[in-house]
Amino acid sequence: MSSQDLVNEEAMHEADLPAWPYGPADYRRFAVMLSVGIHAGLYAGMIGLLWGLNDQDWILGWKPLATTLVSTAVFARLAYSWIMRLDARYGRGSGWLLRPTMVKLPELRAPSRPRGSPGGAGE
Amino acid sequence: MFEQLPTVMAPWYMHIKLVHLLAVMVWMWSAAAAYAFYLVPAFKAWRRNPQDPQVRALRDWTLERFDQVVIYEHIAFPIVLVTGPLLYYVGGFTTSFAWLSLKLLIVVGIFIPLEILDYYLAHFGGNKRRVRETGDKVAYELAVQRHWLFLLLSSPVVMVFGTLVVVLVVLKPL
Repeated sequence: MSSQDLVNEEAMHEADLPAWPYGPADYRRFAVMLSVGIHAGLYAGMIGLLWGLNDQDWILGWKPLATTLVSTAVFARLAYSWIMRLDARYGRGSGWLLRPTMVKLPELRAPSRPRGSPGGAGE
Repeated sequence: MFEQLPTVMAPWYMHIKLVHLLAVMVWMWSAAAAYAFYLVPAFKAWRRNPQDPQVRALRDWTLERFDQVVIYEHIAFPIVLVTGPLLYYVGGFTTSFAWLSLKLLIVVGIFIPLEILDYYLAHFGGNKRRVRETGDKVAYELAVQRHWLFLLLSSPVVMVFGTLVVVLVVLKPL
């Protein structure tokens, strides 16, 4: 088998691998779901702990509710842009060069088998 | 037994707090530099060049190393979980403190579930090296993608709510 065959075979295997299935619309949905879920949980939990257990009714006022709603919207927007930036949709990373370089990547040895086991030390 | 705990442990409150704070620092920051300056660049390169075999090899190697980078974080987290409740009982805190209630809700409702997922992805069924050694390339690719999805979604949550926990504890604004 020639080296070109090997390269072709490797490229074929790469093509068989599952592609990344998520895009910006998914990230927007995830960000909104995360933000709504987290804030709803925290707000309900605070009501339970402060009002339910300690009779503090200030948590039922409009300020905590308004703060929660604003925070939900801000965090959803922040999380979406954060995910988009991490996933290289925009932001840093576009200017990097990819120069092919042959290197040996260090790998850990497989764990040694316990003494006395088949193929282990002492055999 | 629990009634006597505050009295028995009271002389050790500051020592427990010291261990708690050190463990929180390790938990929050031990993987941060490796994540920001090694893992994320490798994954950004892959997202821009998904079919490049060299980029994939670097991505895989980096993520397998990152499975080990989080070992410090995952040793520190149980220490946080033990010393935190100890401080709660010994310090005489109750849920009437709003800042503490919010902090506890964040830890229990967000951080513990995230860390359970992270333990699984890094050290148990999702450990990339173990999946690679099975020889199943599709399973390996799916494991890498699953871990990347976890990191994409958890990064803003951990950074924002982790910072919020520190703000709550230090400033006690509520």
